[in-house]
Amino acid sequence: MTGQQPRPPDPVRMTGEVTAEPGRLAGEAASRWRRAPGTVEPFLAESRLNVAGVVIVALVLLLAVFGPLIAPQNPDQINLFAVLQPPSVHHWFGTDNLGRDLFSRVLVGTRISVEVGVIILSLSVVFGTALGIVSGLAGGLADEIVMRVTDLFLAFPGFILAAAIAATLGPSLQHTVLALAVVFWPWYTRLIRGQVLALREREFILAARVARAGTLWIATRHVARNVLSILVVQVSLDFGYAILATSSLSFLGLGAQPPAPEWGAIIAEGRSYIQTAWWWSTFAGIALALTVLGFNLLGDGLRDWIDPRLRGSIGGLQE
Amino acid sequence: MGMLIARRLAFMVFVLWGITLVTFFLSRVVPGDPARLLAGPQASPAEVAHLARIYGLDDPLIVQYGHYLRNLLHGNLGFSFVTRRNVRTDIATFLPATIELAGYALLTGFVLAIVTGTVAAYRRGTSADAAGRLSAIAGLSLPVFWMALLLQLLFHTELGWLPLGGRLDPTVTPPPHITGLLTVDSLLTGNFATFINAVEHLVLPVAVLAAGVYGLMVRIMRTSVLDSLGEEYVRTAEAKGLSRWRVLRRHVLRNAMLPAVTVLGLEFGLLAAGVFVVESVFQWPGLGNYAFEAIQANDYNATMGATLVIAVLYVVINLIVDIVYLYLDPRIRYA
Amino acid sequence: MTADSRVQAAGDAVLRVRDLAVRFDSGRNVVHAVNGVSLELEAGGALGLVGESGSGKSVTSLAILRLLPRHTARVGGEVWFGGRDLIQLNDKDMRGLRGKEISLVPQDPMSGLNPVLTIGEQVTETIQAHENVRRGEARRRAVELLAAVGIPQPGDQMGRYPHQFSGGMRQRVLIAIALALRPTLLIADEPTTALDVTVQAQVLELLHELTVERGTAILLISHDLGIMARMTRRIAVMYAGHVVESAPTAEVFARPHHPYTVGLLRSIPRVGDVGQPLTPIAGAPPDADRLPPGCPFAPRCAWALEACWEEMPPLEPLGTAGVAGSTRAAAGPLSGPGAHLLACHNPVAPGEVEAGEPARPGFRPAPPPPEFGPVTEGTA
Repeated sequence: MTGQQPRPPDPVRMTGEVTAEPGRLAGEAASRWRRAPGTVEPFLAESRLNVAGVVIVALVLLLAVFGPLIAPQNPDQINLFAVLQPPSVHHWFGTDNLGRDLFSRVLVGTRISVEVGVIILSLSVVFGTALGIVSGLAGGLADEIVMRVTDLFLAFPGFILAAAIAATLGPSLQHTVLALAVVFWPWYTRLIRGQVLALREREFILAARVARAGTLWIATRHVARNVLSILVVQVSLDFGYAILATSSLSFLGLGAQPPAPEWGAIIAEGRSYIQTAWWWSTFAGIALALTVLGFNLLGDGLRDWIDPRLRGSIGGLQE
Repeated sequence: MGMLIARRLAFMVFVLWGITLVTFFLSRVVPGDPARLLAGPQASPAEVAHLARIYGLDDPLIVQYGHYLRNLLHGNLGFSFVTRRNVRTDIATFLPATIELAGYALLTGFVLAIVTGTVAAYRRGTSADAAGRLSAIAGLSLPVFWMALLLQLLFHTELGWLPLGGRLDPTVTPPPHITGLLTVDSLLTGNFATFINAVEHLVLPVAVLAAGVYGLMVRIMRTSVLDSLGEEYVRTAEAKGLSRWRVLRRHVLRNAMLPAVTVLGLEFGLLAAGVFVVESVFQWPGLGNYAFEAIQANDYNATMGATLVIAVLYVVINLIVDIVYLYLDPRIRYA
Repeated sequence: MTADSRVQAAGDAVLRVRDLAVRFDSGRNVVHAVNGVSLELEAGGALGLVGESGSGKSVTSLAILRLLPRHTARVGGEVWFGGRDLIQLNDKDMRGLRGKEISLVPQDPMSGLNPVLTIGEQVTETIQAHENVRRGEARRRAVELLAAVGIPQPGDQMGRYPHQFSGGMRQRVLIAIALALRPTLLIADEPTTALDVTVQAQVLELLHELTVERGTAILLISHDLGIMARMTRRIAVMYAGHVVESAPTAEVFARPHHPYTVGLLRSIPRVGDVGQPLTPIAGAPPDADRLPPGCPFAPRCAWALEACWEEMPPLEPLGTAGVAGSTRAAAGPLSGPGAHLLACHNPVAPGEVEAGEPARPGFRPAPPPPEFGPVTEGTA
């Protein structure tokens, strides 16, 4: 007589853990994400850190667009009558050893950093994603080769590889951007391929196969939409890191060259004056730190929003 | 399990070969002419050509690569044009400084992250949790080089508490070379003054490097402690009437540490990047600084040697991490 | 094996729960998981808590052990055990009771044992947490315990890990841990749900034998009435955080009065019914974060009166002569092993149990009042 009774459906196990966090149910997380593009408020209500992330990123993007227009002075304007002035009403962030207004330079630097981030991630996301989709769908030898190549790239500590590439090509901002794109793409290939593999065997893909839909159609219609959410999270996290890595390389002299008002380059210039003109490196550093922090807060918040436990299977829960 | 390790080893050999390929061809695309660098600016074209012939620099690339591989198999990394010493000797000199720096940073960041991640998980949803998350993201976001400069300004220039850079004050005699780690060697020889001095030099660079390690690890610890807390065996342990500390240590952390261990490999990549920058700012005579100077001087043997060593360390550490993980998890060990 | 084979211990109840209430407050919403539960369990007795998933039976047991997450769970009421109210007890004293006086056999033998510690470590640490014994002595007792729960070659098994054991063997280990210090009360939360049917019977038999042998009272939690019939002397039926009916086990099966109890009984197969379809209860339990104002079962109830939608009836003794229709006879004993308690405005009459619906000419369940719109989605 035991064991025969049909067990009632058990959507919420009444254990303390599950009940304690009713909002953390897997299905709900997926449905929250599905309606997320339209509604921002629930994401903001989740945590004050999310608000901070959104505000900082919005501000950075605004300054990247309008910064050069509202900069009080030409960032390259040399004024030998006002060298190394501390922050004041005229020069909010002070001036450097050539009398250039550091506020204007930091402001213009915002556009450089955002551009750098956009280009690095566009290159690596487009290349990495395309290769990941092809690799995942094609399988076989092509997949094997792509995976071994990514293995090789991922076996290097990324920053060292980027530094070596940038140095080889010759120090310049363009080369740094290229070097970092080379470092980033394999991650996207792996990420996307994993998603594609997980999705490939799912019913709707099989159904599309049965319906004799072309492989390309499958790729674009189903897979692309399913992996979009995971991409958004990864891109916002990597955006901050791309900016940070570029500035680090510039600081080491491998990236942007003087007189470009790139933040890392400004900090490097101010380095030898740090004891007499603390403001020189400080404000550019604050701008850099805040920008990276903003993108990381946003990315981290988005990841939590989707639910950390679902990482790697987020796409599978859509539909 | 033996099979798993064998597969990992085979993969490691493949990756190592790939690394030599990548570093070699990267370094040969260099615009500068190494033979010219070697001969010096006053040398005549004939002299440069002579040197190029001696060092095999005029051979086809594939032949040069063959030479390079053969030398590598004999443990010969070539000759640095800048330090005019064997690259292997150079690396042997500089590596211990980097290991000491990175080791302490890893330890510091790891311990702090375990504490923060555990507290955040136990108090999830509270302001303590949010503060932990913010501190972790900040640790990953703050530019290493900028933090280094600010800390130097504060603790050296303003307060005068700590030295600006280097491993030891010039007036302090280094301890005899035993392990190459100054803190260990000075303690082994009972030289406490040197030990204190070495520690003082370590504080700032370690703090800066540890911030990144910490940032990466807090999140993983928080998630895995949360996962562990949700498991029924933790409830079983609590129902046994064990003390809270014992439940935490033996049941929660023992399991939560497993995912954390796998992140050590990632941490190494982060550390490698940090070491590069931090050693430059703090004038730390380590491998990062060596590699950086080699890159700037087009010293390709040194560049390749340093990159190779870093990459090999990376691969080997990941392998060790994998094996340690296999060992720590009895479900795999006895599978 | 029947519950009656237990030696009835006279005297005070070993566990007395009064108006236990648990709500989970996560900031976003409040979940009323347990709403005024009262239970009584005499020494050496066996009480079953039965109900669907989410009825609050597991939460009740965890509240008794004070193992609910402390920052989200709010617990009210009284839990009297050994002359002390556990709700008011300090953490240190509570830890002293857990595992020694009150122990738990968890639901899932797969995750109930720590995967990275050996079986031996997990048994001995219980002993060493409460008694100042040497490692060797703890080990020797652990081996004895493993033998007592029927694990072959227990000495050799001490160094092995949980994943090397079958589900039934793991549950035996968990029982060994729970009984290691001869507790007064054992709480078993669906102890056999995750096991094969044949293994279920063995484990239940073991649990029964060992608790009777040691005079340990058992609070058994299950959704399985079959298990209840074999293991318990009394059953409390829970629905949406309320005890809706509580009576001696035989009485529950012979004369159920709550429509929900009737529904539960009709949803288990019985010998002789082979080939007949089972009758599940229509609808689903209400969400615990938005309970209806009246009886939570009203939306699924064929006996519902208008009063049912407005007010939750209290749990009261039933007339000893039984109930005819909806008339209430004189109050029976308030507590004690014989009492039949019921919380229902319109109890099921004996003749209606077989049919599973009211056999009263012209009776129709009261429809939900107009303001009741959103909550009725549970009625399919």
